[in-house]
Amino acid sequence: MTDQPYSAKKDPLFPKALDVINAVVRKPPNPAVLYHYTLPDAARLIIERGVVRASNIRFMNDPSEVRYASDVIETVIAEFVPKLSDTPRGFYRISL
Amino acid sequence: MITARTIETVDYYVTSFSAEPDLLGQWRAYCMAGRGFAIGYQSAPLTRMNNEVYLFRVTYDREEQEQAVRSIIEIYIPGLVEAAEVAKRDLIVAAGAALGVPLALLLLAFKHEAYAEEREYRLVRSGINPIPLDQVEFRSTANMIVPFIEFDLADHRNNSNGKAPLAEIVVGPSVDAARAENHYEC
Repeated sequence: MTDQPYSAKKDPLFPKALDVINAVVRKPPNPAVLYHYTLPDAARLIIERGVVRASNIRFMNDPSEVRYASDVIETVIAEFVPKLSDTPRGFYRISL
Repeated sequence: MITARTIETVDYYVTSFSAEPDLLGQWRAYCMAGRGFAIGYQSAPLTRMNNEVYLFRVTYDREEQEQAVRSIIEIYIPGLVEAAEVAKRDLIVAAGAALGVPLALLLLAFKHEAYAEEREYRLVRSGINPIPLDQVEFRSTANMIVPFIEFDLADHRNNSNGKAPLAEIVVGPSVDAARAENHYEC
């Protein structure tokens, strides 16, 4: 192995994984209109400049969302690993 | 002085939409009990933003979530097993990191079924390609300073007229609708 940091762009399996992700996140039917709920300040930005603000996921309001998603992943990993307690829990969180 | 130096460039940036134009829970959560607007976008141009920004449908279905995680793990199992068999620490770490990237991306599409009525969609800027730090800005909330970037919905290849693909604007229940309409006419 080299000391180069891991790069998804060089991971030959990543396109296959992306196919799985796309099947979930692009599942039809797609609504024709999507609504962004926002306060007047940000609404002005949107209307005047055509931009929306995207927040860093680690600073968003609801850490319970991340806990829930982690729980889903841990549940499935437990199917693969007979004794989850023996594994270094949370190893996949390093890339969050 | 706040600098962008503290923000890791591999982070994900997300903004949320709902398929519902008038949902009380959304007004309460994001518009200070209705003192705001729901900006409606045509969704088709959002699906074609660019290679780094993806439109995600959020899934609230636990079975679908677990099946997707299972499918991704199965893709990476041979590499993990191989690494474990030769018992080389750096190989195991690399195989785990490789699996972690798609899982981290996927979990941005997962929410608990209790939130299903939101019918949320998210524009996600993947952290796989580093975000230039000079694009990161900061805003303050009641209890935090939050890094953000801007998604330019008006200027992308499939929206050549240079305008954001607005479909309609829904006025929140606590806004004076008549005055809001005056703004619109301005």
